[in-house]
Amino acid sequence: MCLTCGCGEPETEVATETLTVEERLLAKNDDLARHVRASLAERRITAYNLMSSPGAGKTSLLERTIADTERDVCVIEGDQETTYDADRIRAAGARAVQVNTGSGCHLDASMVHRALHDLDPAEGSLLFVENVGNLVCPALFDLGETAKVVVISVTEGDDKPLKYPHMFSVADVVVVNKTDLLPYVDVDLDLLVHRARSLSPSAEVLPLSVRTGEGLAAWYSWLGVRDAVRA
Amino acid sequence: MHELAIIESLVDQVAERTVGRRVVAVDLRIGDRSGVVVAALAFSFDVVTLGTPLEGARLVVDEVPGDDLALVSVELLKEDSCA
Repeated sequence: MCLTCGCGEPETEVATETLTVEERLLAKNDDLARHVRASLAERRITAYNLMSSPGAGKTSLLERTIADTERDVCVIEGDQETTYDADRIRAAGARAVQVNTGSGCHLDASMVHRALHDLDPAEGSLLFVENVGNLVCPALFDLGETAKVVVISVTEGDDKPLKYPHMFSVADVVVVNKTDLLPYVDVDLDLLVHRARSLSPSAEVLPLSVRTGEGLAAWYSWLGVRDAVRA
Repeated sequence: MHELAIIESLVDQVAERTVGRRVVAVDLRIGDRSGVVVAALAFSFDVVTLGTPLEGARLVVDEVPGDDLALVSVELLKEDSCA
């Protein structure tokens, strides 16, 4: 029977043909990410994809980094709703564009590509893309970044790297924030660091406190901005 | 749920290659470490394909070890199938 209009005998086999494709499902995203990566490299812009669960301290880390260094920093902020984070970045003294995903759970290359047209980062600047707070979905989507930064706070527990292995395995650096709260939580920092390293052996793991400043020197070293830190 | 975004992209990928043709089945290869949940993919497929040339098509998933995430092939109605 014809599937289009139902004509023909029910026993008649529907004639079909198979078109072989063999293409990655995220090919469109990945192609655009490659284009973003190339155009950022051409303008000597280093881009970081900042990912974490909600409340780990991504925006605070950016505010502190902007305040502490003389490098030109600009930010693409991603949240389901509100411009709270872009507002905070601007108040800290850097340019920002807010992307609102609505019901979306991650940023993708097309959102970053569009935001870059609005933001127009200067040559040689540092670009941070603060992803939607989510330890699952953002790990799958290449944004064209230079490196992936995963932030986890000590209040989240030392088991989280093992519970969210996909995210931690793609990290180029893991920032362990809120070390000032260690006396108040049942977290084994060494175990957390060990677990993060086990999932991404080549990643730097940087325990620090954005609030007190402890450990921030290592973050600025990793970013390559030690020479630009304000006295 | 990122499976929704993946299916939206899949619909574009298929539609680009099959302009005007009726899609009977879509064959995917999904790795167990790809970060994609097959059940969520199937749910998204049913929802997202409504009103598209993929509406009513069968989703066939080959689950494999690893992190593969591929559109393998598309089964199309032959153009002269309705005499």
